[in-house]
Amino acid sequence: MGLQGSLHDMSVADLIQVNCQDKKTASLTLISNGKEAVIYFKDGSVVHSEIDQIIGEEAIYKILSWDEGEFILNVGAQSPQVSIKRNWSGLLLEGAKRLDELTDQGEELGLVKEDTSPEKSEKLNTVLSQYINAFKSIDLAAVAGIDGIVKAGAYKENIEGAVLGGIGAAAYNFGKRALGLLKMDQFSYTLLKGESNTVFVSALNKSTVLIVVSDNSTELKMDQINKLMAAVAPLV
Amino acid sequence: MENQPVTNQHFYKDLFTAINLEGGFSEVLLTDDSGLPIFSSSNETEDTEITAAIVSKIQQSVFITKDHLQMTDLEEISLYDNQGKRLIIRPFKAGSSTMFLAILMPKKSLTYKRLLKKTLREVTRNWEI
Repeated sequence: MGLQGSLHDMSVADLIQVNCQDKKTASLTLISNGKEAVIYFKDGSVVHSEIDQIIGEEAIYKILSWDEGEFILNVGAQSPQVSIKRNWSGLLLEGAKRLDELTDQGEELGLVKEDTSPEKSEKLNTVLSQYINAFKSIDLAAVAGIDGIVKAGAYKENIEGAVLGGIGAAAYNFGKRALGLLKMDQFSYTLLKGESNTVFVSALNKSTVLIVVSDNSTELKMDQINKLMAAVAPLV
Repeated sequence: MENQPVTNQHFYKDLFTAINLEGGFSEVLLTDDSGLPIFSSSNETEDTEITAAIVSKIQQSVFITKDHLQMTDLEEISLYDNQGKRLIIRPFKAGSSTMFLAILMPKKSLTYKRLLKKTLREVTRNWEI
């Protein structure tokens, strides 16, 4: 018998993140409302997933919406096949975007309401603080709406929230419009590189942006940013 | 473009065409500090006027951003789409003029830094007012 727990204590996204960061080879079986799903990890990558007749990435996106049930982790279990190539942070980000779209549709139909609970905001602040403390070169990390209102942030230097939110919103809205005019794909991110700082603004979903400001003592690494995005995306 | 000698116009046309081809870019564009296009080389599907307008708007916005975030001189602005396509904009000075070099990159796998530096060096060296 492997490690067991409840999805109330640890979300599916957290379980994927922890197993990947720990470079585990394992199977994660999830049971919720009479349904059973499985996710396989190999050396810290998600390699396969199944639920009902669905396999691969689509299965992961379905499982990510589960917020109640039980999980069982069997360390060392080998996957019977490889159906997923995307990295784990990309999977979590895409899953969060899809959940956001579903939530929007639900809100439009009056089925669900946006979760603006203080606990969620607190968790977001904690994730952002941990991030800037983990990387010496990061001065600031914040999440803002595309209306410019800052939802959460962690700062090493004092920057006015309204200014920061405004910059994030402007970068997103302008970037989206500019890429549309250039007949490019959807806005992903923008980088403003100065002599001493770099500003990164990325879309977390269609209504929220992530803003990171780093000094240029070390190069801003995209894998660091991707990990942060994967950690905050389920919280916005 | 009119304030450049004819010989220089040929030089810039050749330079931009060569850079565009070598890098596999969609467009290479030089604008003045008001965003007006000076020289460009692009494949047929790109609209130089649109890129120039975007460069102009970006340069207005980023100088406000720069001041608010107390950034020193801005070296480069890049916009990425979901497929990894990029618009790179580099402000620079040639003589007493501030200009912008924009490169539109159609593929994630392409590199640009060496060619961008080469273009800046050639433009700066040959710029005449």
